[in-house]
Amino acid sequence: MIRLALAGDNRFVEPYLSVVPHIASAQICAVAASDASLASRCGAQPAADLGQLVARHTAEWDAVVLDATCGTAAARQAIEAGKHLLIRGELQVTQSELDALNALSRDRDLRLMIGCETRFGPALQTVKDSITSGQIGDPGLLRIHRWETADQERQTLTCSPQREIDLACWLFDASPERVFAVNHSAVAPTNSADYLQIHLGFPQDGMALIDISRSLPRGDNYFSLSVIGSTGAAYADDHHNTQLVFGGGSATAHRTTETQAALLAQLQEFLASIDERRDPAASLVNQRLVLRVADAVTQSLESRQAISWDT
Amino acid sequence: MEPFRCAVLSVVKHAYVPRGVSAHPRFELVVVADDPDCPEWVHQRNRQFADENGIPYVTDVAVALNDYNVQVAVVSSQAERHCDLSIRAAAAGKHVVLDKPMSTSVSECDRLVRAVEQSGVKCLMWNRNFLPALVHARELIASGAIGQLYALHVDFYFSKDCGPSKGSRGPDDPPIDWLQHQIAAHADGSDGGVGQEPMGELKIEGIYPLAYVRMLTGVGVTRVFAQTAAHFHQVTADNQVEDLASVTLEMEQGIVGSLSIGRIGAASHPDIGEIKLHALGTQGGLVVSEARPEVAVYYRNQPAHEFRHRRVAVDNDYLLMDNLAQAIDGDTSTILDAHAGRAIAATVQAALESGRLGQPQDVEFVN
Repeated sequence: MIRLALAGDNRFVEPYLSVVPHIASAQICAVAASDASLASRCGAQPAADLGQLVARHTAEWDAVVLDATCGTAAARQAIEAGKHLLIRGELQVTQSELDALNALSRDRDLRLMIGCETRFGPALQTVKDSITSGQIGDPGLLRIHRWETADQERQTLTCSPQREIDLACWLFDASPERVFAVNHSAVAPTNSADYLQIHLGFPQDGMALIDISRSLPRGDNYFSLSVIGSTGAAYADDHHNTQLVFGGGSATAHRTTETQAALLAQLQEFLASIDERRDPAASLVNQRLVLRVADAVTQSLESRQAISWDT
Repeated sequence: MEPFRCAVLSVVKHAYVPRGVSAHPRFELVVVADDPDCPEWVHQRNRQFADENGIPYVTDVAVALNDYNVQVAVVSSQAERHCDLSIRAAAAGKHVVLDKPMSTSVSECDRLVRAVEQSGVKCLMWNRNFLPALVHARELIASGAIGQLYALHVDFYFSKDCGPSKGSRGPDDPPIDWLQHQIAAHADGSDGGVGQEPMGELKIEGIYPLAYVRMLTGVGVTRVFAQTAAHFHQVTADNQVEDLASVTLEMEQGIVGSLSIGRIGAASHPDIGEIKLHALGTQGGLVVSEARPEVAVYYRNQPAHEFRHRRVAVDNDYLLMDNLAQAIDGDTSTILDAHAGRAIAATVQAALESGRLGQPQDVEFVN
């Protein structure tokens, strides 16, 4: 049985209360969130934050699922406390900080997994399977649209492409050789872009085109991903997965969610990597590549030129 | 009101343009014509179309333009002849309906723009801007439903085959001849690139999605970055043209966008292809499937090549010709005139150059 701690804000923690019971070999033993009732709902020890978890309850948990917004200092704290660590979300980290976390976790023989749960969702797993099985042949074009609302609570309007870069590298199973990017300020202040568009060039003429927006008004987000391969194509599009609600006036479209399935699959992979004493999928190697490509995106934005390198 | 009499100047591709012209009661096809020194396969197709429509075929373009009391020329030749035939028609004082692409050369497009301006005739590039989904998108954007438009993307994939798949050519097999392949492709209507000069998807089909972009944004493209590849078909690989491309578009007024285009193979979609528009504005977003409204029809032993989804309520042909009629009557511009066609050709040229060089390229922009 792997004893889990959860650390993050209430929105981050709550879904795990219904996800973890799916896993026979895991149990939530500690929760660090502002809402203490979240801990009591699953019979776990409450704490105000990760620091308190480490200080007061460190003997009661083996691994922690940490909200990426808690930052690298919290990540280091968890590893130094001897805990396996899943950082879920887009971690704002430099290459050197990442290397330091990696070294720290390896010294202690701890599993460290970083990234968004997106690739673990059933839709994208199906897309990936269509590639690895050979059904759709060599991937030629990956097209992603990700539109989100401006997150006023977190005051983060700038678009981070980490999640999409990770998806692109994972689906092509390669590192890009060329990067070109443009951005735009739609509703954000002019010194902060809330729209980002990225071209990635992969070996064998593979290409990815990604647009990320954080300008939608409060409400639903939108995600669409398609892979055009040499012998077929896969389309994972929210447009296809909406239901209609007629409540007077124009019909509204509501997406049937798969978020919990993605969280569960990511967590299962993390736990399996602990049990099997191996690197998890979406490992440090992936994160290093993501950061390198994200740096190239920044360079392209600044130079208005495509950035190329040999892989 | 007497209909406009139309001379069809070459109809070597699937004849959707002249048929579309004749869908409007104000336009009447009266003659088919072509140059006498065309290859026999061109004459055959011209004759066949003329016979099907009960109109004469003459091997003299000047005779058709001058002796049949026509007011409109409908040009549907090989792409490399589009501008020459159109210029001759404009010089003879005839309005022009022109199949895509405008030309494979921007300089030829410039010649046509000048000819149209000097003669004062109207020019309509054939397009799909009056498909019901595009009309709906235009209305929504114009109504402010998503605020001020700042980004527009078109994913434009035709799920059509194009001969044998890439990698299928044996080591001793010769490269596939472009023209011969296109001539053979006439049988299933996938001969949009017919002509001596090989063309990739950006040249063959790019005008359609770029016309969407131009109509919905109202501005021109100033800079592009593109990636291109021959990914699917042996004929495109053999002729060094692309069948897959992704293009970032930087436009006037800071608008950004993209075009993803490809001839992706019949297996890659249940019908003609995934064609979608994604628009972002300051107050929302819009996702439009170009094919809708459509009806899905499935039945036992349905042929594999038959589309399962059938577009309905499509009035594009009539509305295009109505647009031309109004332009002639009211001396206004058509929805996609020679200037716009030229701008799109320049965008395509810049995209191909960008794909070749691996760097963004400015569009040779003339507003």
